Amino acid sequence: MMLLGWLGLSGALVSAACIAILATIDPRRRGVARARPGLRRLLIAAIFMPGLALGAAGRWSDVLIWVGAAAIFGWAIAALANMRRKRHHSP
Amino acid sequence: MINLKARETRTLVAVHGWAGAVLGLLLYAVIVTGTAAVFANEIKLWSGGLLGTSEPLNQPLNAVLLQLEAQTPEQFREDLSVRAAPSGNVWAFFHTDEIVDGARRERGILYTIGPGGKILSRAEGLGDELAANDPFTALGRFYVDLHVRLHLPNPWGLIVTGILGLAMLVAAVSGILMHRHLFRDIFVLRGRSRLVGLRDLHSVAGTWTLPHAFVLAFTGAYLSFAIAVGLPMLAKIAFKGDVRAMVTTLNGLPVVDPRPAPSGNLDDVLADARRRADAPLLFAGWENRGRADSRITVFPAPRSGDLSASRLIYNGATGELIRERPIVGTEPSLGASLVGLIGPVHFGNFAGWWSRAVWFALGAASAFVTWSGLNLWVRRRADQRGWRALGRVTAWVGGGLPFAMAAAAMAYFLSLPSLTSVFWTPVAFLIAAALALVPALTMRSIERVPPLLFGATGILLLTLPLLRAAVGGPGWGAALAAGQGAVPAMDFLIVLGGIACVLSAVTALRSREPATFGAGSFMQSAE
Amino acid sequence: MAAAKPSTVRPGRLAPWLRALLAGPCAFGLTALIIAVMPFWVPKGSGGVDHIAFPLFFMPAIWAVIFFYAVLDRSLGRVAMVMTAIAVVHLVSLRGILFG
Repeated sequence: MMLLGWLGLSGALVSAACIAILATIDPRRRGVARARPGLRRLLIAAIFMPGLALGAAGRWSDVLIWVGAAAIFGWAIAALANMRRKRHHSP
Repeated sequence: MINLKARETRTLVAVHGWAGAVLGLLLYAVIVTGTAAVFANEIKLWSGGLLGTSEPLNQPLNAVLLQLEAQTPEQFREDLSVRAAPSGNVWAFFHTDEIVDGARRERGILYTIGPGGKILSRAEGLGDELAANDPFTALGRFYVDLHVRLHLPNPWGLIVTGILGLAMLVAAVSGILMHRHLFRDIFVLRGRSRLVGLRDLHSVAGTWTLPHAFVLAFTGAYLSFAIAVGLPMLAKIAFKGDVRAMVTTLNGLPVVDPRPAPSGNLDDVLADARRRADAPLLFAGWENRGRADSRITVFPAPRSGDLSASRLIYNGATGELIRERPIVGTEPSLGASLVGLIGPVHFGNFAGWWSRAVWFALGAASAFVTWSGLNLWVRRRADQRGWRALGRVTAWVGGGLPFAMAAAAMAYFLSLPSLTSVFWTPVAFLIAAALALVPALTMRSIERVPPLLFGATGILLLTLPLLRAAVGGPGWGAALAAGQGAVPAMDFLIVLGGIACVLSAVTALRSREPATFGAGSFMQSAE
Repeated sequence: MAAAKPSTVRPGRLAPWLRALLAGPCAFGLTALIIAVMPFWVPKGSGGVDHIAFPLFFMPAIWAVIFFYAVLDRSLGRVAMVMTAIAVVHLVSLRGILFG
């Protein structure tokens, strides 16, 4: 009972960390040619690991929390990554 | 990458755009009210001011129910519903079924039982009317009714929201298919000063919330159409109009034995159910009391980590467990599992505050996707008068809806002492919506209307906890002592929401955006 | 050089309205027909309710498949024919079920 929700949130934070790295090296956002495909694939796989682990453990409510929370974190990371880029590039 | 031919892509862009343009404002209303409705029970508890207990059905009730039965007219003693009210009290409804205008409804006496068996109120009438006229839950019910049926009469309200659910499904699927590099562009936001930047805001938010949007559209359409259209149609065709036969198929064959029999002890039944379910109990329905075929059906909350719960059926005369059964049918099945998932996945109530918080955030994100899509559509057609009018309506609804919802909450508290909140809550909503029309129609710069209204919403939100206390609502100490942490939590979250609204409004009003786009309108490809 | 394919080219103002009719009311009607007949061929399952639960659960998905097919198939004639054929099959089945 104590773990209810915490596991899903923790999984989402792990996924968010991978999303943040992915956003940092994202070639489209940076306007560069595509680079580091191997690292990108590894990160994409890592993003889904927490959800797969929770599903394998049968904690379906935590899977749903993970999906939702990771999506919100991802959106926030996308917004923040572009705000930082604009600050660096503005005169 | 999803590789479609240019013609198909153009068709999907048109379908996506027109679905949004025609139905987007209503869809936005359903999404925003749905986002609030995620916390409907917490809103009812927070606003009602009645402090019950955290598990109302986990206390001795049998003795007080026997006393109440003695005071209840005999024609209403046949059935009894015992429900955990959002306030933490118990609603005990002695009733019988009767046919009103061709429909089966329940009439009886509704008692509200507080902690320690104290009787707080008594009311007589039809069950659904008694619930609809309860002043202490009027605010939460208003948001839920607005979301479920836009306050239109049944079945039309459900049909409209069902169509909106399908429209959201169409928008989600067409959005995936028409955007060739949906996931490659997931971190690209090119700044809102350009039309392409507005498109990025819409598509990036839409991409991140795609699973949630798809699932909520699907389950929402199911919930609306299944009740309004699906079940009645299947009853007419598959069961040739025999509703009882359909109910028997879905719930199992009822045993009929009208011989008199003493009633079992409800406390023993509820204690056994609590132990088996390992979760709080939500509702118990006791049918055919005083007969040998008496049955008590107990509905528990899902176990920790589970998404749905089985119902427990007890012999109402002996108190023995007959069986556990899923939401439909008598045995677990794939169909029952699928149907059982709909509710938790749509309402987000399967893991307490955690799931509600995530569902609330995703709902707000979906509202942003809908509204940004409408803004994008209107901005692309800024040189056309008809679409400019839609722009003003979009600004009005976008900022005016949260403002009207906050005003409804304010009116709720002001009218609660006189118990007229059922009337004033929706009336205040309409008055506030009309007031919000003034800046939308008169301000030269449409872009400044929504932040202005958000700022006003924030100010109203900041007053709500003070109003709640002023009309006699429980303090934080009393609420925590009663195990009702939702009261201080809601106060805190509403203040936080108010500050966020005011700050975002100030930021938006200070920034200088061009009143119109010089780019003119043009249809950009999905690439 | 390539000959125009009359079945794939429908100039004129009527075509969008016909497609809207097929993708709109006709799609709803066909969905209702399919749902109505499903209880008679879907197995009842271990709980005896799958034949009711499945049509209700999949109702939005069935409608979406019909809608997107009606919208995306290039040939309006083919859309009309396919939808009519499915409707006829289900109407005949329904007639047999209801009236023996």
